Amino acid sequence: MIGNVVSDTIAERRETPTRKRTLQRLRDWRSRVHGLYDQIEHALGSDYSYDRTGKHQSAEERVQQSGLNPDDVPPIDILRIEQSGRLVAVIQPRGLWIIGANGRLDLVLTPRTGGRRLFMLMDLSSPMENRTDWRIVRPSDGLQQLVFKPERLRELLE
Amino acid sequence: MNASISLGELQSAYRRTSSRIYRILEDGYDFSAEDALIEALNRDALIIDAAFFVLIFGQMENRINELAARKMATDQKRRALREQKFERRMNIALSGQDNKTVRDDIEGWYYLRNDAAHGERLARYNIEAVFERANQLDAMLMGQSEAP
Repeated sequence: MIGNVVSDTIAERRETPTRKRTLQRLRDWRSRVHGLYDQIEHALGSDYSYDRTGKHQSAEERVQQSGLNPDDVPPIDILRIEQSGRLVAVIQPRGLWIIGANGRLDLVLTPRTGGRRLFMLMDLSSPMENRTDWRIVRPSDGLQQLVFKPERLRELLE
Repeated sequence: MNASISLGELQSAYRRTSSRIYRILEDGYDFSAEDALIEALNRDALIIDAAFFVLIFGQMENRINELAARKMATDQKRRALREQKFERRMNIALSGQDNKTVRDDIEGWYYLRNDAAHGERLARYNIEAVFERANQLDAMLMGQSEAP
């Protein structure tokens, strides 16, 4: 239920972050994001190639407040999707600590027709809830938060 | 023109405003994650979100003020209520153990609203989810005002 993630993330923001809790949250975030990438790669299959060598490391306020060094922060993959040598999409982690969401990724598509299309992937599960609830939002097109199904990504790429 | 604003009107205004910012963001989006334009536009979006959060909270505060005022027996007490701190007004509006969870929830919103209003600590928001929760809380507050 969406109400819980809003209340839970507001309540979390009022707590003083501890090193242990922040590391738990960061590791959980990495696990959820990498799990999503695995699902996307499985759904799109071998018609596409994948590059996960680029890394994102959170430098968000709570990471700094927890006294973590950059070396302590688990790096999260940036997923680049190519087709026939052409970059068609990038998924870039944007932030974990969001009021009303359990993390956000930016999905940038480069359709054959040209230009860029920006989507957000937001997890509406509550922090440390042991589940995910990924939604896809096209912010320039209103803000409907539709359930994200990795197999539907193929339609967006074509 | 009616001066009061509903949550629904705020939500429509938010969608229009943010979609314009994101169209610019989309036009400027490059695959360089460190692009200065993207960072600047993301920050614009953050400020718009914080401003709308303050407005959304204002709607909830109005509802709480109305509820608290109804519980006052005289005009003099109603006037005196305006001078009370938010927590006091909320405790009057939502009294009793049954309302503790809602009070705790709204108290969290109040502190977050102060952060946003004073520009001390900007949070990132998923405002659509915030609107949904605000509507739920508003319905609860409306239910209180209709109770005998």
